[in-house]
Formats: sequence, structure tokens, C-alpha cells
Amino acid sequence: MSKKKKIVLSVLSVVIVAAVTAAAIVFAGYKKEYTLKEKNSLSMGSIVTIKLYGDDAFKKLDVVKGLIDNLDKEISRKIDSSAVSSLNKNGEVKSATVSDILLKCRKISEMSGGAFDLTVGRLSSLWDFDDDVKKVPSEAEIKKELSTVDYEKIAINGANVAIGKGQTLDLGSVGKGAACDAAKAYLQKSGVKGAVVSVGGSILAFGKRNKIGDKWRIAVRHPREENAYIGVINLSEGFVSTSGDYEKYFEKDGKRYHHILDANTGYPADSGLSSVTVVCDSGTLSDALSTACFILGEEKSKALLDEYSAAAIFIDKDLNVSTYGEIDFEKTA
Amino acid sequence: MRTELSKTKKICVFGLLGALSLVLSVFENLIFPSVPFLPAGAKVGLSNIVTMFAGSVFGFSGALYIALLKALFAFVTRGAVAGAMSLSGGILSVIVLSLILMKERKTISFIGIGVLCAVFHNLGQLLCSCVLSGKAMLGYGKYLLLFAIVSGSFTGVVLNAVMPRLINLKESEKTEFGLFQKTK
Amino acid sequence: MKKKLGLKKGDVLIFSVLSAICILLFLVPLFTDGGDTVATVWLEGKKEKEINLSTVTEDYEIKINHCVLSVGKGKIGFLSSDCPDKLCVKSGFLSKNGDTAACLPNKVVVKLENRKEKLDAVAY
Repeated sequence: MSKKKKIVLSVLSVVIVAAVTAAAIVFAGYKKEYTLKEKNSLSMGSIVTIKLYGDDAFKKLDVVKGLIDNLDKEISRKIDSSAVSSLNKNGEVKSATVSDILLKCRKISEMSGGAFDLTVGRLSSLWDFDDDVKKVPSEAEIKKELSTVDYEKIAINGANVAIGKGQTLDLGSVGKGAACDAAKAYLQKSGVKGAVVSVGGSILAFGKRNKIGDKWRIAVRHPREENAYIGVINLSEGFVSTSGDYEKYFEKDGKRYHHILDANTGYPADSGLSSVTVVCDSGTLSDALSTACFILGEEKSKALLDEYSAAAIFIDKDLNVSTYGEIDFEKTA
Repeated sequence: MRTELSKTKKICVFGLLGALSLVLSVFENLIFPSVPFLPAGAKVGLSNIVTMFAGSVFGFSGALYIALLKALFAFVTRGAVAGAMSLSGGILSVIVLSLILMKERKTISFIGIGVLCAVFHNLGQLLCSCVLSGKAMLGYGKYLLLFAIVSGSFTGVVLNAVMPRLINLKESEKTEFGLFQKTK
Repeated sequence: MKKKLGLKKGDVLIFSVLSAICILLFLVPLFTDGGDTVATVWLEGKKEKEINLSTVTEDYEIKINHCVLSVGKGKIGFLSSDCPDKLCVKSGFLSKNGDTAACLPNKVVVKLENRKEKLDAVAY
């Protein structure tokens, strides 16, 4: 080879090395995660984890926590001064928050044929999964409380909400998702680059963790093994909610009575599922949908999921896993 | 550049070369007792100079002899683990060395050969350490590669400078040392 | 310079390619940083223990085969061993993704990695 070609080849190889190195460094920079600030606390009767990504002050963690607490004070049945308690006592209340949630959920109640119903309060109290008493209510008792369950009696006029006589509203099944919605609304204006908020297992995945936006990894709890996961969802942005028969339940005479009540029958839902996880673009809806789908069962859920362009993971009692809709789910081996 | 020597001369030469490689081995262990980044027994590779020399003058068998000698020495002085590491690195390096030397050497000097020998020597050691202690050892790979490139270049530069003086390039039968004779 | 070293174009090629590979290998940790630093301890090629160094609160020691490892917040190292070389102990403390230390005679390997399986949250 001529001298000229020698030089060219040498220069070329050096250039390639330099280019590869430069590219690697740049790429590494894009992959480097934004700084993370994390806060763990309690709210809405469960563990709240807030993770914020980006060069932000601790203050923003507290803002998010504050929003969740405020929502709790507004919609919790257990707080006497809440709007929901007011509603349950007086039959009416003026609350934009409550009205907003009810409006969002109405269609789900309709499409589920009333199986999902937020006026299920008296029924929930009857079963009472929060105390340690393992009591299965009698048929007569259930029938009595069931008569108060009817979402159609909810009247909404702007921020004014009214319910029928003797009815009790319980937003427990959607409250955490609604908290995630509130968090997102704030985060969008906050300048935070990315965030993951978990309110008692209802998740918000927001923004990006690094410049190229690697996906968030949300694990789904194994329905039967306490510290294990059944799989991991890779998600760019969205809300994740799970309803399962393992969260609150008691067993009596070999049968499991869990807290997800079918508002039509008055008994814990029995559709063959042990857990349903829904991914959606709204927290309130993902919570509501996961509850509704759990009650309806896999087949009957599909129309509902399509309506909201949501995706779901169904796990039956034998731990068979199936997914519906567009979802990036890695089942653990 | 094969060279034919009488048997006695060969024994002497190999004795010298062997001793030289061991001395370099010990020497480098004194200076770099254990670079913290490298796994136990991984060496910097100064004695590679001797191996490469033996390989170019005496071919595969020559280089192999040196490698085996080093491995034996390591086994006797530093234990079975060190011996195994030296052996695996040495054999792989010698095989590669011989393959390269068989080809035309117009485009590559001892620097390139040195780097390749060192890299494959370290690769052999890495594989050996994985066999001994599992896949986790692969994490050392990048450091071994780095050291191989550096030491290989160094040994290559040294041999580039020294080689012409050892092998007289003129068409004469004896070199100044009277040891080597060029054939053809 | 080239002539003095005896450098030829084949040499440059080999050197460049291997250097590029080497640089890439060193930059890999930058891609995978950001998770928890998890130390995996292997004994005879099998995973013996996994320790999440980011969640360690107090220093403590563990004994694997004939080696004693010291575990602290974000770091782990060989404290002592019955091997002849003591190269493991000389490796000092490991703290970064990719750091490795091993005691070959005892067949103990400690490797740090970033948990790629790092989970952001659990839905339940």
C-alpha cells in the first residue's frame, strides 16, 4: 500500500475511535437519570410514596403530599368534616371534587350494569373488612342494605351533589386514583421532569426519568405470595391500579370473603379472578375500572376497557395471567 | 524467519530465554504486586517479550516452551491457581501468536503482535478465572483489556527496537553473538 | 516518531479497535447508573447472597467460606481471608457499579451491579 493510503488508514482508525468514544459519552449522558428525591409517608389510610425526578427542591414533595392529604380530607368517609361525610349525613353537598369524581365514574356504573356502584357505602359498612371480626352478614341484612345501593339516584348539578334518602356514598374504591390525578395536575405545572407517585398501590407514572425517557417499571403484586411480584409493567406515562382479593379479606369455613363487593348481589365479587390491574390515562378511572373489571370478570370487561382505551392484566384464581389491550408486561418466570 | 541451530545450542538458548522470561516475571511481580483492579494471578505481561521473540525465531514450539515454563514456575512458586491462570493465558496467547506470525508481517510490527498476544493472554486468564470462580469474574474484563493494550504496546515497542539487533539482517552466517544463523 | 517506534498501519488498526472496545466497556456503567447498588456474592459460581448496599444502615460483617466480608452503606470489601495471596483483601472496598473483588482460592466473588430490575413502584 502506498504511503498515502497508510496515512489515510491510520487517520481513519483514529477518527473511528474518537467518534465511537464521543458517541458513547453523549449517549451515557442521555441515559443518566435525573436526580431523585423521595418521600414516604402515610395518607388515606395507606402508604404513600412520592418520587420526583429533576433538580427540584424538597418542597415539591411536600406539595404533592399536601394535595393528597387535602383530597383525603374532602372525600374520606371516615373524616366527619369531609364533603362526603356531609353528603352522607345531609343527603346533599356542594363539592366540585366529589362531583367531578362522580361524573367520571357514572358511565362505568352504567356499562357494568350497576355492578360497580359508589353508593355501596352501607353494604361496605355491613361487611366491615377493617375490623378483625369475621362475620358473614345474613342474607336479610345484605338485602336490606342492598336496597340503598343505586347509582342512578345520584344527582349532579355542577358542583352540587345529591343522593337518595338512606344512601351512603363510599369513594374508597376510587379515592387513591383521584389523589394520583390531583398529583398529576400539579406536577404538570411544577417543572418536575418525571415522577412516580404511589398512593396505597394506585400508581401515577409521569414524565421521564432521563433524557431519552426510559420507561418506568411498575411491578404487580403476586396475588398469593406477599413479597413477590407476578410481573412488571413497562410504562412511559399513565396510571396503574390493581384490585385484588388479597387486600382486605377474611376466611371463614374455607371460603374467602374479600372487600370488592358486587353492588348487584351484595356479596364479594366472584368472577374467578384473584387480581385485575388496569392501566389508563386517568387515576380515578383506572381505580374504578380495576374494581369494575374485577367484579365483571375478564370477558365482560373488554367492552368497558375499550371504551376508555385502557389495558388490563387479569390473573385468575389458578394464577393464570392474561392481558388485554396494549400493555408492555413482563411476567416473572 | 526460522533459524536452525545445533541441538546443544538450542538447549543453551532456550535455557537463557526461559531464565529471562522468569526473571521478567518475578521483576514485574515486584513492581506491580497486585494491581487492585486485576484478579489474582493476572499479570502485566513483561515476559511476553521473550515469548514473542521465541515465537518469531523458533516458531510455535519455541513459544509454547516458554509459556509452559512460565506456567510451571507459577505453579511451583505461587500455587495451583496461579499456575492454572498462567497456563491458560499462555497457551491462548501462544496459539494466537503463532497464527499471526504465519502470515505476512509487512503491515504489522511487534506492537500489534504484542497487543494481541497480551490481550489473548489476559483473555485466557479471564476465562480461567471464570471457570474457577464463576461468571461474575467477567467484570474484570475491561481492566484486563486496558492493561493488555498498554503492556502489549510497551513490550511491542521494546521488541521492535531490540529485534533487529538480535537478528542480523545482513546476509551473513553469524551474528555478532555467534548464536544465530540465518537460513536463506 | 512512527519510524522510530516501528509502528505500522496494522498496529494502528489493532490498537484503535481494541482501544475503542475498551473505552466502551468502561463507559457501560454510565448507562446503567441510577438504580440501587446491589452487591452479589458468589460462592463456587453460585449466587450465595445479594445485598442492597443502598439500604444498609449499619456496618456489619459476613463470613463466606473462609473469607470475611465487611458490608457498609454503599460499600463492601474483603476484610480477611485465609488465602496465601490476600489479593482479595488488597482490593479494598468496592462501591461503584461494576466493581469486582474475588478470592480465587476460596472461590468467592463479589460483584457490584446496578439493579436493572429496579422497580419504581408496586401496584397492589
